[in-house]
Amino acid sequence: MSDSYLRRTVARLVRRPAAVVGLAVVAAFGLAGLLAPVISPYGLEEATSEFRAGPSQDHWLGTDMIGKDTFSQLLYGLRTSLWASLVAVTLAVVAGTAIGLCSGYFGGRTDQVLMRMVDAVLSFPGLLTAMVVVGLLGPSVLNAMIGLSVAFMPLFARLVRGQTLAVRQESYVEAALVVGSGPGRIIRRHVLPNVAPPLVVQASMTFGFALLAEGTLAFLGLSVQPPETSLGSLLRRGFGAVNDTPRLVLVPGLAITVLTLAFNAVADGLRDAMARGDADRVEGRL
Amino acid sequence: MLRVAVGRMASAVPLILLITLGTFVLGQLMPGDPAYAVAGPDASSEEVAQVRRDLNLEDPPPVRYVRWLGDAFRGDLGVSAATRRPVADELGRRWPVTASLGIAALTLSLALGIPIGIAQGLRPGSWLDRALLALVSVGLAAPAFWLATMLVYLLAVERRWLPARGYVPFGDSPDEWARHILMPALARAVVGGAEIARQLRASLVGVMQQDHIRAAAARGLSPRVVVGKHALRNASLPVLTIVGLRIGQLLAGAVVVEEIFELHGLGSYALDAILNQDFVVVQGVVLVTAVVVVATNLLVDILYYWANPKARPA
Repeated sequence: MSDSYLRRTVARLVRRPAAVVGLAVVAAFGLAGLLAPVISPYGLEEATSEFRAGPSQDHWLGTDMIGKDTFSQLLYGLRTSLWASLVAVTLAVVAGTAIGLCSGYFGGRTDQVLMRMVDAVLSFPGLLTAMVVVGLLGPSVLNAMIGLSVAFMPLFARLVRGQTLAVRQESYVEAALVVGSGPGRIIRRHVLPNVAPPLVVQASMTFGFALLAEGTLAFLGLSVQPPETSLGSLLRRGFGAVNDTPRLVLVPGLAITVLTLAFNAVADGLRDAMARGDADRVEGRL
Repeated sequence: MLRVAVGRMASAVPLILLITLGTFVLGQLMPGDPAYAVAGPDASSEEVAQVRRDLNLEDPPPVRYVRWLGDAFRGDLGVSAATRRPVADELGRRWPVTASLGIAALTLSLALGIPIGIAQGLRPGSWLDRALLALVSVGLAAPAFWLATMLVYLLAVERRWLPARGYVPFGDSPDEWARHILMPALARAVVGGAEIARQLRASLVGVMQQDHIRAAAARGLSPRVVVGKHALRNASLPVLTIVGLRIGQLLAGAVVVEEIFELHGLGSYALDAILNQDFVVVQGVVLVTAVVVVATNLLVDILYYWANPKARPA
């Protein structure tokens, strides 16, 4: 990615109100999650003597049925959910890129075998793939991240393979081969720079999915285990008291929705901003 | 067309084999000994050894996979370690619940998504389009488990309009069936409706700019005929893909909703199996899902070729 391309992308991105607001929300939530142990008024396992208290000066979002401060729980939940999504997407990008590069660069048998496997995973519903992996490895936040990355990996493998195939045909790659460049150098110098923009877009789009999927796994008890908490497990605990304290369901659900909405807005903005040629066409999402 | 269908079916078989083989290999990595799980916590070591012989667990993994495949082909998916009931029977018993949920959810998503998508696609950029765009974006971001739990609070706790849990077979009472399935289906239909609306809007915007639509309008045909007869027909093809994907999600999407509404369908069966590390059941559920996904893709392809002759392979 050249400097001018990067500058143009940023310039286009900041012209989109939805993307800018999304970026601000992501940054605010991200910072809140990162600083959770520092800024949260109560500890992760700290219970107060006030049960199911309404919002007040001491408890901005009230307390739950065992006296835990909802605002503090939310910050810790945010921390786990964002971290889990980040790790899952990163693992998927790294594994998918490695597979896609091998497949696209070397072609032939390697390509056939790898793509068969990728297509098998791709044909299977992503959430169920993650659930089966967690089922086989046992419920924990680490296994949930592994399961999600397995589910997302095919998207990146397919994308990188396609781009690699296209770049491999270019005459500058042939020229590089002629002057004796090895695969490592060609991949670093020519393939990766071309693959990077669509990869960034795909990764940003996957983030919203990862957040929702981790929430679902945590809700089902397949991700974090107590006392650790994520937005999904927080919502699950709140559901037990939905009859008299619906706030405990409303708050974490709203947090997931707003955060996913923000991620999707950033992803859509990035997609349009990074597109070659004119980006000012009619939008399909906020 | 027949050749296409047969060709696609032939390529679907290796895919299903690969998926079940992958699950089997993963299952070998699973911690714990299935023989202990089946024999129960109080079993003596002789009893465990007996179970191991009964279940043929002493054979090498490749032999066991081939035997499982052969049995599955004859409709025998093995016995659950947790409940000791045949997996195939249980799948058959629970199937109607998940199918009801899936059909109701798909119907609701179409009922939500099509009008919204058309309203947006005909006037892109208008205030109505923008308002609906915001609605669709929220629909895509709101998790089903949150919508489901909020619906329970609003419609079953606050107002006692609908039952919060349980399932009544359609054959017993269609009214009660509908009352029990409405909330779970709605919780799932929001995402589906949003996806359908987004796709329909995008393809309608594209189609409306094409020459044959402009020509039809120029010939003086009423907007109703132009949109209904010419534009929607072309714009509906990509929507078909979304519908196919939603059907493929039948089981995956059912898990969380069945858990919340205490519906004893395939989703809750899958979740129990995963939590109990009941490998035989996981394998059976994976097989069913793979078959549903492959069959749906096949059906979507055939419909695609039928609706759009240009897409047919030469």
